[in-house]
Amino acid sequence: MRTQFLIAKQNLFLLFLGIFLVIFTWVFLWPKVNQVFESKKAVDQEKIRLGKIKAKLADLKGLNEFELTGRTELSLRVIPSEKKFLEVLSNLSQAANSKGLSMEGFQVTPGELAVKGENKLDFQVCFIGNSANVDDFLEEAGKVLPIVDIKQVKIDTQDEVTKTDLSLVTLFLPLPTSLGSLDSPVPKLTPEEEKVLSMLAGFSSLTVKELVGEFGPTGRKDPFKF
Amino acid sequence: MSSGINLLPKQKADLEKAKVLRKLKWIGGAILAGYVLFLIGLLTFSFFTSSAEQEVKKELSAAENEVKKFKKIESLQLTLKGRVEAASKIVKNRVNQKELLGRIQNFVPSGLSLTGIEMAGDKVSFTGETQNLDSLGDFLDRLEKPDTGWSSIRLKSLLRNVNGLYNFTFEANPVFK
Repeated sequence: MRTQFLIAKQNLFLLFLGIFLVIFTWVFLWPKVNQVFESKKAVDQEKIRLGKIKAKLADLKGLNEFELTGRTELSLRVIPSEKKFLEVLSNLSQAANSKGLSMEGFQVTPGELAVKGENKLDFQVCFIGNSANVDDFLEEAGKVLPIVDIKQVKIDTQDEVTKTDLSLVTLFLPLPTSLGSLDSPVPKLTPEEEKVLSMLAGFSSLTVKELVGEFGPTGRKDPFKF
Repeated sequence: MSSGINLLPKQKADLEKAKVLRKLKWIGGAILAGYVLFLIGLLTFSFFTSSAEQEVKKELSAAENEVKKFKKIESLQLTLKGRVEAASKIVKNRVNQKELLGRIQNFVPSGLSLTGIEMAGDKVSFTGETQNLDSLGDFLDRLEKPDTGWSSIRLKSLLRNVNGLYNFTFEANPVFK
């Protein structure tokens, strides 16, 4: 009788122990297990991010600041941050003069000078000169900076004089205002873009100051007369 | 009379019960041991994860600070990339007008002259005058031949002016290889 009572007591103890373990696991241990696995997941993600940042750092360390500054300055002459339409016209005029043609007129609607986002500017420019030089001029016009996209060419020859009308588009791109996230990769130039950049280095550009010279004194009594 | 020792053999049912109980004890003990091992494992895993987290955070913070030092270089590279990308599109889609002019000059016969050319995209329009229609026919025939660099030749207008010359307009598509 005593033995049976002891056995029953032992069974009851085991039952309570079992119930206790189940409740303890459910209430305390399970959230802890979840938390540990969440932490592991977060650590793995942070490791991936660390890898990206380290790769970016290696890329940035591989860039030569002096060389990069030169290349960026060139790219800013190719596509300026502001609408430098006067510079485009000046360089086109210079290109025409070098090939025996002269600028007869132009039409341009620059709009707002300081713009956000990529902006295009359309030009219509007219040149006159010898027809034999037109092809060379077209080649030269394609090499002026800021870069121009020749959309349309109209050549008319009358009485030994050739009139060349060009419809052009030039681009303006503001400077980047933000760098993006720390783990975003460094934007590298593709081999094709490297070739284009080398080609653009051979293009000609003049500053407006070089072409028109220094401006005279300002401030006049009658601004309606020259 | 002593009463402490029962020398009588146990009943069969009691023996079975004791056997089951022993088995239960073993199972209970094994589960408990497994549970304890699991707890130890969890604690160890938690410890290593926590120390790895600390280490990664430390490394990450150092790397981020290092990247921030190269802000100027990154900004220059970003400016360069955006511009070269846009310029590449223009260069890639460019039509070489000089080459197109050269391409047509090779086929112009005597007695015919071009007075106007209009190039826009993949369509070129020509205007000109000729002393006789044979020259114009010869010119168009030459252009229509394969490997001339031109295709889809379309005569748009033809008229005789007061000077006895013929004015013509035709369109053609340059072939880009």
